[in-house]
Amino acid sequence: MKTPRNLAGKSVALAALLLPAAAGAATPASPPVVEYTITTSLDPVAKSLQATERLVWRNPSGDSVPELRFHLYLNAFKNNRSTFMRESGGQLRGDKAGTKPEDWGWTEVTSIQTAGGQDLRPSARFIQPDGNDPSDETVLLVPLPTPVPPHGEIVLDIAFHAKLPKIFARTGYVRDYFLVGQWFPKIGVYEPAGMRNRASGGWNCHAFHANSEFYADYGNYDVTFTVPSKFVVGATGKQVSATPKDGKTTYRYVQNDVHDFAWTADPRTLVTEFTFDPARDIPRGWSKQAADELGMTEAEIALKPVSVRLLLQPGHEKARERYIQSTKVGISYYGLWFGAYPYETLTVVDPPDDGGGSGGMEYPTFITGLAPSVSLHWPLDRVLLVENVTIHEFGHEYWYGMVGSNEFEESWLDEGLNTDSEYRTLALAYGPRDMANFPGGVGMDWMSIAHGEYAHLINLDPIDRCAWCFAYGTSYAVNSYPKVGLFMAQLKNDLGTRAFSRAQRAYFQKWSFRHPNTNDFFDTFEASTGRDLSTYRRNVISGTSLLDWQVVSARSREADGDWGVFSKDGKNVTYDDGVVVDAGKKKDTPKKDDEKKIYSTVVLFGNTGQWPHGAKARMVFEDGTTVDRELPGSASWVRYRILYKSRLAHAVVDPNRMNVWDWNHLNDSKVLSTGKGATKTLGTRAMAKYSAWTAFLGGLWTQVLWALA
Amino acid sequence: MTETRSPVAAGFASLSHGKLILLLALTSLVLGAFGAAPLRPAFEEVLTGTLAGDHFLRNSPRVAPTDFLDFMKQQSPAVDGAMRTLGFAGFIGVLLQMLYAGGIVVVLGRGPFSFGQLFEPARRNLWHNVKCFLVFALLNAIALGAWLGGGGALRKKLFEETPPDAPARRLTFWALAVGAVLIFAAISMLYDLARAARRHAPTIGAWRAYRFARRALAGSWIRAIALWLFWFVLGGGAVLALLAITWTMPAVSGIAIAVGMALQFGVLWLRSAVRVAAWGSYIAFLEPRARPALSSIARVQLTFDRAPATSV
Repeated sequence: MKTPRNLAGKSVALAALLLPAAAGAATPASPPVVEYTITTSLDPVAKSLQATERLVWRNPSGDSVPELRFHLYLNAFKNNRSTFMRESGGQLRGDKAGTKPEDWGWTEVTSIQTAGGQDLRPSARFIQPDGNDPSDETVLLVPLPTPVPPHGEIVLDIAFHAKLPKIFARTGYVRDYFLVGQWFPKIGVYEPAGMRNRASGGWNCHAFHANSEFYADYGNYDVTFTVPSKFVVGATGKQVSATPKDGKTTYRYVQNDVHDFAWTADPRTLVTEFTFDPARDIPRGWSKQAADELGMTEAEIALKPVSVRLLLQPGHEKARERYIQSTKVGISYYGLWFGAYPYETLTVVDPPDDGGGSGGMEYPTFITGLAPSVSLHWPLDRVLLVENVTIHEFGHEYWYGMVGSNEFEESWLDEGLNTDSEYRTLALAYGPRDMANFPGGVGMDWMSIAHGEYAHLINLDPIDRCAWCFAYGTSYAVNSYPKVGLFMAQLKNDLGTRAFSRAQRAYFQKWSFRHPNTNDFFDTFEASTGRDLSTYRRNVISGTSLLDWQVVSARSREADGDWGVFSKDGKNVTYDDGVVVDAGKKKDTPKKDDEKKIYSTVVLFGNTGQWPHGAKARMVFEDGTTVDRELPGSASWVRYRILYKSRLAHAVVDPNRMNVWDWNHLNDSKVLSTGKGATKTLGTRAMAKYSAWTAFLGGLWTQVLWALA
Repeated sequence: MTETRSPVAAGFASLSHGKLILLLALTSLVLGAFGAAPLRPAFEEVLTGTLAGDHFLRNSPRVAPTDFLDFMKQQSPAVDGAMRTLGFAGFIGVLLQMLYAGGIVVVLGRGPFSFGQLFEPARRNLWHNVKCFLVFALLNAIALGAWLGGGGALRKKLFEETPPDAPARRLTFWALAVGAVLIFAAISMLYDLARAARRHAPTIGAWRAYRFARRALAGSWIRAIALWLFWFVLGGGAVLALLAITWTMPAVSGIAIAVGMALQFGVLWLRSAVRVAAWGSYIAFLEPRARPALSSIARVQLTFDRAPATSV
């Protein structure tokens, strides 16, 4: 087994080989803030790891730093008094924490030695930076004998023992399947003054919360782990060696410019290796479309090959091709529109049915999908679960992996932006019913799902809240994922596809391998588009404003002619329904025929939401004439009065559904009950059809009960 | 009903009672319409008053799903109301089924009958059928609860360390599922024959009717369960096939919508027809077994036991 010191030396030699190519992405900091060299061995019976970790930490600030802070994430699963367990109640993402003695997990740091040999462990203590859970042990504060000088560095040798939990919330074991994530003492992020708008430098190292993920500095990882040889493994980065000895194999994986490291071991995994070949695997037309939208050449957005390793569970073979295709789709879309995937490798882990809690998770160059057996058979195989999860998790290689926003404090910047990118990828790759597509034309798309979640949400929180500050769990979930998807779609519709795509690429390019915040997002978009986007920030991201344009009323009736006495040329002239008559007499002309009738149409459009934002109004008349008008954002209502030879058939606001932020689309239109025309006919037919369907389904329901009783 | 006709043939012969089948189909349609009634004003407002009707009928991608979800949100009182009335309609349906069964077991297999001839025994046997249903529900709760609950817990314990794709896991899952269907089939046959007991003993009580059913089934359990499965599979398959056709009809034109409605009624009719056929079949199955079963549970045997004692 190699010593940590030797490995550290070798990692420097490998740096040039493993640095991400500059294709599209900003250059990572050099030297990096952190360098980890970890050696560990898995005890598959005790479900534990014995490890040593050499950490080189470079102070990125002009401050003297007198203490270090470490995340010990596994301690979230140590007992029921941790912040994580209190907040989650032992349930997260549909998964329950185990309650048997062997189900708990923790990390125990046994020593922290400086280069001078001084052990800092005795003086280290757990702190609770976010609240009042005195038993929470997920953040360890280590006072230093001498502060780390500005832009100086410190080298620590840490020894630790980790007991993995029964799989719950992303990490742990089930039987002999191991997904080892958040397993080593990981240093927090020291943010210098100015970074993410900080007034002064300081540690950003939060407790592990139920509704939050991670935040760490970029660096180089050189990890060696030993497992029984029967295990198939996969890990962040590139495998550089595999050394069998005495029934065990020691694997070494290396990856630069990432901010985390995860690995997996399972003796039953089926391995599929394939290469993403841009020439063959980019869907037809995507490269040209991306180049057009971005105003670049196809050569400028060219992608690189990626070696992909799919670790599939036995029994999930039906998912193999779906994993492969969706991985290729993800690499293509994100690469073309934002920047080429810069790493050489990607590992996709398919968790077992009884380890679903480790599914749907992202780590640098390493993602976990989700393909429960039941979802692979008809009719559930018509739900694009494998595709959705794979593309979403791959997308995190960009929004989390490369653009390193703070997931604790601004979850929308990674989960939300990635949800938007995922929606667009799925729609482009799988068509309009990109969530599910059942026979009979019954299906669903992700934008509709997002709208439904937004409409059902009790609107208590703005989007830009720290992850554990939301009023309740669903508020976190909807605000961090689908609402941001809607916001980004709204922004895209308002800015135009080209301006939006260019701004988003600019944001990715500028903030790759850095830590942006909400200000940086808006600054980049405003600089790229030349537009003031403060209304979006104020109302949508930092506010809870809704938008709800609707047709408040619409009526159309025969216009009155002139009635009464009018002064004309100094004389009083009497009119009876537009016809001049002698004073005191009724007209005796015949009733006007239909061709001469004039109708008065009055339509009132109103925005009952709080966000002042414009919309398009459309009025369609029975003779087919269409009148379009722009409703200004500054108006809370607009009334149109139109005299025309035909009656109004229907009025609609936002006919092309460009305002995806609109809270209720059902009130966007009114079909006049007095009118004629295609919409009226179709409405009547729909009424007949769906009334019959509901009565039929009700009848079927009673018959099922009959059959059972 | 002839003695030589097989139960299955007798079942198909029962399909000649078109009015009875129509009665059952219309009953379920009326109950369905009653259950769905709270949705009608919401449909009126949304489908004919906005463009949503247009979107739904054309099945516009993206627009129709959004409108559907908005409908569920904005018209949730109507949707909730419909769910509750459907629950109530289901309850009424079960009661009506008990009522009809009381008449069906008496008149089926005895030639043409009038509705008066159907409803007189139906009314008379209703309370008997309610009591039989309660016993049926209790038996199912105990037997299926023990089978699925106990079996499921045992399976979980046994296979805690077994991979999800292991054949043993699959086999035991299917064994549990098939076992549950067989248990349900057996209890259903007991229940149906207990109700049919009134055909041969018009005043028999529920407990004795179950004893009667058990005696009638003694030695013929496999045939009885096979018969139940036959109608279950045939009825389920036929209904599902017709339902699939209805489901996949992209009805937009007026004629297509009318055809769709006819097909929907056809599904309800078919299910009713299979139920009548099943009853005809069970009655034919019971016919040769009824007399011995009745004899074996007859209380009059006690009188014979006492008579010699008093005459001494």
